[in-house]
Amino acid sequence: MRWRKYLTVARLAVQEAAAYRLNHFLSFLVAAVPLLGLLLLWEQVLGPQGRLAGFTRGEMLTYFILTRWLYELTGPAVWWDITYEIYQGDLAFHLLRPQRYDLYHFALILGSKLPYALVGLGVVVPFALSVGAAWVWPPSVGAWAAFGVSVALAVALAYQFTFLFSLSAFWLEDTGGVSLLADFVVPLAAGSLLPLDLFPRPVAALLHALPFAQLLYFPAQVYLGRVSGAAWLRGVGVQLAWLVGLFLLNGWVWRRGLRRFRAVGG
Amino acid sequence: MSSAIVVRNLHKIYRSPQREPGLRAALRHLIAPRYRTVQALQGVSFTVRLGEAVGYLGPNGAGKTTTLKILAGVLFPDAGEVEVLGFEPWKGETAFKKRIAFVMGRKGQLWWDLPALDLFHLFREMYEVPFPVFRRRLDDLAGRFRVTDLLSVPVRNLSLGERMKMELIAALLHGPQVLFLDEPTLGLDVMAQHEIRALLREYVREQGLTLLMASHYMRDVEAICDRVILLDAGRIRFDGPLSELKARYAPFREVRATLASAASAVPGAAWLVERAGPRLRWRVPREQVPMLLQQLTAQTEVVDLSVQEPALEDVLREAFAPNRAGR
Repeated sequence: MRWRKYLTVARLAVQEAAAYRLNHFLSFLVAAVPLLGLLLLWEQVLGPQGRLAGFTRGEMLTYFILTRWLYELTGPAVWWDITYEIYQGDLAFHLLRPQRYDLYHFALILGSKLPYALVGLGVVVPFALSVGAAWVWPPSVGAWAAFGVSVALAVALAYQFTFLFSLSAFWLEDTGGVSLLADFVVPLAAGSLLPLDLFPRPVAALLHALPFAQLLYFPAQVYLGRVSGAAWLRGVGVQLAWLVGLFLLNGWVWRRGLRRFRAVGG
Repeated sequence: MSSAIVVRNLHKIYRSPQREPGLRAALRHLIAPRYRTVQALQGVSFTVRLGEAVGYLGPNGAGKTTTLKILAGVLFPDAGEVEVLGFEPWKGETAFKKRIAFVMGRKGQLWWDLPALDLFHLFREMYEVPFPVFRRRLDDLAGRFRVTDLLSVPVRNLSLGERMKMELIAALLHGPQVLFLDEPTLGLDVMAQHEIRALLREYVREQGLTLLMASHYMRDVEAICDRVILLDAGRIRFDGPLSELKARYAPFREVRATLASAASAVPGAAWLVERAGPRLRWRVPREQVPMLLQQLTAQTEVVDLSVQEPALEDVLREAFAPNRAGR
């Protein structure tokens, strides 16, 4: 297995994405509008000294700004390139080449998301500045490293979900429903609307048990220094377990899907 | 091993959901979906020798593309045996993928916003082609196809013909031994069709490639292939040299003559299909042609005379005529 080809795919995706940087900036700007409302709301709720479920005002505002940005990298979705290729039969080209289809699209997604996330910094940083001295940084270099590891695993896990959601196109004539699930239910379960601690206890317990918390809530907790040491190790273990489990599941789904594939058109 | 492709008793069945329009039908489909099965291939068998160029002909829906996709490892066969260069295509082994190429005239694999050259480099890495070899092949192919200046132009700015040339280059850069072509000249203007045909013929012969080409344009097949396989409704109707196909399904020649003056009685009246003053046209069994010509020159004064082989299009119309209504 040679990896260089996937680096090249990612590089080409960056090249393509770079052509649309203004478009990226605008779409991120629009996507950040609800964030403004959210921040104003929490500002009002907590006041300068308020705490809620163990979150200070600074931690809460940092949580929302950070997760808004992070979710661009660790949020799964139905990847339209894959569903299109299955519907239109262009998947055939990929099956012809000596490559892994999952890795090809992972490289594509990384290559197109990284420029988007960079451009997104331009939108998020002013928000962070507005928080001022209350903004929370990871408490140590070690915490930064722990955060980095949890984000990397979250990115990989998010892709496994993206791949799984997209492969539903082998069976579904329209992946719109799956897409709604990915776009609205998953972020909620991942902790993008509320930190999971703020949900009623049974719901919070359920959400903690689901893999989606590993995408956003867990890395954010690590960033804020609320999870470290043994708890961090345990969390990373959970991330890894989900990652391996989904990877195996995807392999099975992929092989079943291929048998259904009709390579229409052409 | 002298056979490049071996196909034995190949079957492929498509099952597609069948649904009438309307809400009620949609609901009924949810509860009790009904499926329509289509026998795309019903026991197809043939072999192709190494270095042979074979045309794969048949009306729409005959199963041509399905066969090609199974041979290229894109589709699973439902029954039967398939071997390409000793590999079972559906296993998708890397060693197999490196030895074949498949070009679809209806689809492109190049990225719209990037120059073709970027993708060529990606394919070089995927197929692990050593750089000097890649360089040499690219220079050669781009030179032949006269697109050297266009390699750095984004694909969306290329004409359809130029794009097809790039697609062909993309497919040939890793040096495949077996080439599957599906309608490679589809949608191109006559000039571009002619050019691509000539380039393909030259390259395939020179490199000794094994070629299986499905096409609607009979000229593609006439120009490039020595042998044709005729497919109709998932079954092979004919397999042999092009000349034999013509002899079997079109044992006629078309004779045209222009006489010095309109004659009242002309020879071969039974085969006469058109008569406009001094201009005459016959459709004559092949073996009768010499006699007709003899009588013609003996009995009348001929100003102009031609004997033509039927075009492949006419041959096919003849071949598929009896079975058409049944499909």
